[in-house]
Amino acid sequence: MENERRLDLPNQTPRPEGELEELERVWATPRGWRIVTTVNNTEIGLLYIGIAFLFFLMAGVLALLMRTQLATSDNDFIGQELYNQMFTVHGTTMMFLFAVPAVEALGVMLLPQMLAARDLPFPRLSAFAIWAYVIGGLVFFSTILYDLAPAGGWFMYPPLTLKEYSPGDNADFWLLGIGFIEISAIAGAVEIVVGALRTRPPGMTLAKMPIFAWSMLIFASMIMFAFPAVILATMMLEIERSFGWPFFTAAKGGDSLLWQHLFWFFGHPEVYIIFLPAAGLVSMMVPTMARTPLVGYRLIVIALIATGFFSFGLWVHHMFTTGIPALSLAFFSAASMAVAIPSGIQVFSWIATIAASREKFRITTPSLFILGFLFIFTIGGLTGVMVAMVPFDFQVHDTYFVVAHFHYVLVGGMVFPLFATFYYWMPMASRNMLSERLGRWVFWLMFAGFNIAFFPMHLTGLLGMPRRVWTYPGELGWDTLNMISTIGSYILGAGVLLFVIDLIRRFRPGRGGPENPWQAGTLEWLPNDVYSTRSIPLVTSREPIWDQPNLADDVREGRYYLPNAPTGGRETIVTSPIDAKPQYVIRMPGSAWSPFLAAIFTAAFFLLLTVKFVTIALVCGVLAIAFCLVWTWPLDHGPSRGPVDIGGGISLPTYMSGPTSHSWWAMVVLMFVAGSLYLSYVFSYLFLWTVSPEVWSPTGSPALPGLPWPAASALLLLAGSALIFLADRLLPQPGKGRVAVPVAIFLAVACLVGSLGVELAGHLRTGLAPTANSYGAMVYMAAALFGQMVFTLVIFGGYTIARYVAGKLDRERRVTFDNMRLLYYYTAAQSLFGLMLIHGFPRLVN
Amino acid sequence: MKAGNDAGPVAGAILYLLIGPIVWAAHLLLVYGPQSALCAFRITGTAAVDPWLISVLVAGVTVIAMAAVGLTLWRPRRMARLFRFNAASDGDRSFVISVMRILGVLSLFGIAWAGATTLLLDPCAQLR
Repeated sequence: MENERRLDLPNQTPRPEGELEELERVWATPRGWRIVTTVNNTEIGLLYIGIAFLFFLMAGVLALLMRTQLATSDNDFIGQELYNQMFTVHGTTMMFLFAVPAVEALGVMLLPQMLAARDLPFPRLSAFAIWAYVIGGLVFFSTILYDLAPAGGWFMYPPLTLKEYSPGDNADFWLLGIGFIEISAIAGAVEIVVGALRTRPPGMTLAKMPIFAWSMLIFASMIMFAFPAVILATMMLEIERSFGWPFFTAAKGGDSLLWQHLFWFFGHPEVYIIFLPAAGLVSMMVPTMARTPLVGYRLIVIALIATGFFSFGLWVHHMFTTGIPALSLAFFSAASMAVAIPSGIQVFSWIATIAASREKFRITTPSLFILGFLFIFTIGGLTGVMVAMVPFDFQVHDTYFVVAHFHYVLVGGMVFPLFATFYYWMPMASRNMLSERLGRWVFWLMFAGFNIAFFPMHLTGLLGMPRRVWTYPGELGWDTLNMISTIGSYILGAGVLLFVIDLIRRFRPGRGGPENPWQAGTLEWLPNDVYSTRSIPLVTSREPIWDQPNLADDVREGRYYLPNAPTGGRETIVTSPIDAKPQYVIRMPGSAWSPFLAAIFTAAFFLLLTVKFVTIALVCGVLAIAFCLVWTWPLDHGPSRGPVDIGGGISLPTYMSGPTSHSWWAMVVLMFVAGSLYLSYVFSYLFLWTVSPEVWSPTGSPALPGLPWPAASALLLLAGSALIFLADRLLPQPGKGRVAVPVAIFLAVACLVGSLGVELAGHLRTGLAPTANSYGAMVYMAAALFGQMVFTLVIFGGYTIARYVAGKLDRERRVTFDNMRLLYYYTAAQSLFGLMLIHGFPRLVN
Repeated sequence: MKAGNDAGPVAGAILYLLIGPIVWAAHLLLVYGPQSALCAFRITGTAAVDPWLISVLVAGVTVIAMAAVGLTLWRPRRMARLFRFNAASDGDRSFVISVMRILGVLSLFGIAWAGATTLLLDPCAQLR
């Protein structure tokens, strides 16, 4: 019977000699200094989570200093200006440098393991994103040491952050530094979306996908749509600070509320961007501890999707007191209360799973942190419903009640699950587990400390203590509550310190730790090494290890798919996004210096620009682009290797172009990001027109250029698109060449440049200046966004031509061309829409 | 297990799964955008639209959005054909259909809740 079952498996044993050794060689970790060249998800994921945790510790120290300052009234332990910098850096670091990167790091580290993929599909992109974050983040945080840190709060509201009220480079560090780190987060999101949809193991349909993969898919999709809004906002604020384009200056038709809209369109989903992956982790741990499948898997998927959507309809609840009409507030109040329903579904599913436990629910350190999370997050959710009600929000807005609420949501909803994760998944990264005995101390110190620190803040808020004050007078009755909060914060800090001590004692990176110590049912607990699992299993249920008792042995022995490295390099199976049918084998790049160097020079470009070292910054920018090109040059390797046998009679191609290709998918994701950024621009344009129609052309600004100008610009866009279409048709068979192809691509790019030039020249001729008013600023901002795409396509077009000339582009080996073509068509479509908006809208409304 | 493609187009499957939330998002955009703009026009003097027209607009968009989601809940399989959604197995197909329907119910609730406010509030009244 056993032998018959094994005969059904895709590959037979014994496997050929040397096969495992080749896998180990192909996936070997670089040694010594070359470790910085590694791109493997397990190694860079560990670095990612390690640095994110370092930021958590450093921002935590700032919190303790602030609590020390607030312990008593009229305290002068920290001065006002430094206190302002501290709460800004604390909030910014916790949100941008700890919370989002930490969950993204867990995605990079755990997702391939949960999907039994050898790696995520773009390992060098992950490495680039992580190094960019490490360098940019450390430089940003260090500004607090040199009195260079921003002091405008983590949300950087203008007009406080405009040049007049925040001179110096402090605010610029936030705008350029954080804007740059957001780009790194988007790079990670592209990786996760494509990874979750395309690198699942055969048989793992959407209905069998682990909840963490669902939550990471939704997390990454939310990043795609939320982050562009704040990227546009940071671009506009930096441009206003540097060049005086008045997007946010009311005297020139701008509006500081525009910043709030853009910021919170990102900022509120950001809360769920942080929470949903943490909820996904909880949904993975609870069934293991309860030794029973998750109750309401389907409902949790629904809750994740619904939360992801609804979270985009809540942003105005951060602006209830800004004078928006009552009916508008009611729309967002309703949505803010509605989002509690999917969150509640998840909480009840976890409770039901615990209640349905086959045996007694195991109380381990991860379980304790999960129970702590349930308690704290539920309280945070309830106060969230309170502040979703407009009259109550009016009373507690900008008070410590809000500080208490969001710490209950964020620390409860993210930090406690993260600590549970550290204890639970430690064998993925370390040879030793962490101490269960110390873990319980860590939990109780953190749980007690957190509640002692933050619960009294509800009361200090209700008593009227405002946020962001560096001290307070003694006669207001806030002293005792503040002292209790400070004591609680030190207890919380002691818990974290104990964790760090345990980490130093027990954490030893490497393989060889206990195998599936919790007897979990999901794929990351299969025997694995740097190459992930020896073979990629066929998945038939949601808890394969529970339902297929011999799965671990069969996978380890190589009886499932792709037990070897048939192309002699790194590879994994790409499956169809819904039914998870094998489609092709993706050949992935190995370790390289180029992503690391590209990240260093990208970071240098942004940071040097911040301190106005423009020439050196530009040199760094050029080097960053050069290293990106070096990194991508070998990726489009073509179909020369031919199909390979992965077992079970399945032979798969090793190259794929067109809509099935993973790089096509990545480009589509990137186009969604670009589209989201552009829609944020359209919103901004219409918003400012609504607020200040008097500065719009032709009454408040020079008349628009005559229609021949936009018509010429549009014709150039259409001509360029036609040339790209022609180049596609003319791509030759392998080994043949046609000079018309590079000429067509060159002319198409020239058309784009010409179109931008015509558009700019038309406005310049009218005498419109970007500094004159918000209308001028928006018109030239449209050109700036168009120029950004043109710049990208000039490089991309040149790169495509270079590949053609080098004989690396033809009708079959065409992924590079396909991506360039997609981006070109997108740019042309966006720019045509932009021409209609800029030249049509003012004419229409007049 | 055989190599191959999904039973239907991916974009259609994603759109089908997300009909409810997409209509909810469109509803929010279509009630909040025009309502806040028209109220702003009253303040800037750009245009003076009667407030009751704004209320009618909000109510109308709400009814249309609810009808759209209601249709998908009532005829899920017909909508599946419209979006060319299909799945390899009955289990996966019923999973996606049930996710779509419950998301639709949640969205219907969100649309009704937001839209109902127009029955209670003056569309351009300020709270301060």
